[in-house]
Amino acid sequence: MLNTEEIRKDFPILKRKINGHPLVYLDNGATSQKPIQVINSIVDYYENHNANVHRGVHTLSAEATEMYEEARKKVAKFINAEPEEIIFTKNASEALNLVAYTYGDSFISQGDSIATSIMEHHSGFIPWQVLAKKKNATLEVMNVTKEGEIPESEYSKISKSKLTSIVHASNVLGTINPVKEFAKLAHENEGVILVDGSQSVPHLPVDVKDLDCDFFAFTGHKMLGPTGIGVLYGKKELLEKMPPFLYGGEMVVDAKVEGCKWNEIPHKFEAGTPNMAGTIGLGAAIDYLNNLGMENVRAHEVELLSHATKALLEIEGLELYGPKDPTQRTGVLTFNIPGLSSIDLSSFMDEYGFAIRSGFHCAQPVHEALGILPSARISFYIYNTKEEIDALIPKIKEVRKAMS
Amino acid sequence: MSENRYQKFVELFKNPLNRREMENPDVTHEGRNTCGDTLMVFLKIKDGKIEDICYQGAFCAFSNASASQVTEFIKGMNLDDVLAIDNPKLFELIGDDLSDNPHRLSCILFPLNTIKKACEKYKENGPDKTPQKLKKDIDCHCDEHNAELGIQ
Repeated sequence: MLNTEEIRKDFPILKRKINGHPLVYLDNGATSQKPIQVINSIVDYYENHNANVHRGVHTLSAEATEMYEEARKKVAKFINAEPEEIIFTKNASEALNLVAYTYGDSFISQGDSIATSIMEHHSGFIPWQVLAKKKNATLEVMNVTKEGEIPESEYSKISKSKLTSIVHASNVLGTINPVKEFAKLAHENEGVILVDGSQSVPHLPVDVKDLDCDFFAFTGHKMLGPTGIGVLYGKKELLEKMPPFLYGGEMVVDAKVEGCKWNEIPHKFEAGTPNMAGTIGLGAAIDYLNNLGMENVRAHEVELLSHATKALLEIEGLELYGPKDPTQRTGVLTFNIPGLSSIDLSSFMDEYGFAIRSGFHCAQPVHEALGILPSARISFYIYNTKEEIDALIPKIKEVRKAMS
Repeated sequence: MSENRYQKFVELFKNPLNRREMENPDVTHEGRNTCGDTLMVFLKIKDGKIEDICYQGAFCAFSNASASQVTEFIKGMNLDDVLAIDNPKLFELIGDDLSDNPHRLSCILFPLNTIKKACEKYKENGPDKTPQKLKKDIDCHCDEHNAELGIQ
């Protein structure tokens, strides 16, 4: 189990007061806070090692390159991949778009099907909607039950598709999708599968070889890392047959007027000067999480989820979305209280120092499918405590009382 | 919740002005704010002036307060004068410019923008031939949703 008291000491921002109250940060689904170890790794990089990577033979360039590639190895190990299968992007959105623009553009043709689900984040939905239109392909959108699960009757949409793109865990419902089963289904029908792990990698142990997904995207800033750094994992044989995404330095080994020869993977997909500091910060975040142990991170989250689910459901009339069993979801709890707009709730809770999210959470389709209004969301991470949840509930009740 | 600067918004949320529907409006318009809130305005227009105006939808207390004050203010006004209302005038009506809370600014601009779209629509096309019907305030339709999926 995690020692939250010790963990909290590593997060300078948790000492802040908001409107005179101690900060209770419950918007981790949007972005996590950063421990001092991550902040220091970035400062150290700029103070002592900054130079462009893969560009020079001088000491600083060699140091920066080694640190950058070391971070790639850490990421690879963290999700059980090979370093050359790890492409650094600016975020998960770019990673998902990269697959749409390269694999999708090359291998999806008129009449093909692309499967996705209604619970996707916009960044895992729009690229396929646009690609399907461009290619005259069909977008097969798997629906969800009111409990937030994809019913088996929808699985045939995967079987008939050349490409499936699906969230590992929903940022609204918290649902953990059976992506291993989906991968098997896709492969039995000669399809490939891309998993959006933005809401799973920070919270669960993830093994891409075990899941057997073809691509896996996630972002650094939701897992203690800095903003501006994301990851795309791709199976080597797929990455090798895909065209580059962006063109420029680093991704080319032989540039001639008549034509160019592309660099090897992963560099083929990393045109231009990369986000060195971000990558190194992400490496430090992974060290931090490894130190805690992802099994413990998950156990802490399940405990908070159990506690918070029970407490929220005691609020009369509150509608909680997604699976009720905490072992079937990640640490996001999305809800509405009839007669109280989520944005008002979020605004008024801020006056008490609580940071909670409101709106569609970049996932409007699932709200519309379930016929629900923009919603309020609390989402946990390693530094949150049961005491924070115990303080939250009476304040929600107070706001509700004042508004009715 | 303790008394705060938004207390007047809270009071208007509990007792809104002109938050209702209208039989046979001359023009309607439904707006959607970036946060997902929706607001439909209904206008009765006579001799180029607003005879009656009301609104319904699913929106926050800030939008509700703004809609309450603006609709009250513009009754009897001609359409061009409504279209000329600028932000300083709106802030004066609401009694707050949210300069220290800019992320809620769109909430208070939303109703006036929706009303202006309805006025422009009327100026361009005259009365709606088939006025839009208000979609019921959305509540959870999960059970119906499951039934559609064939799930009990």
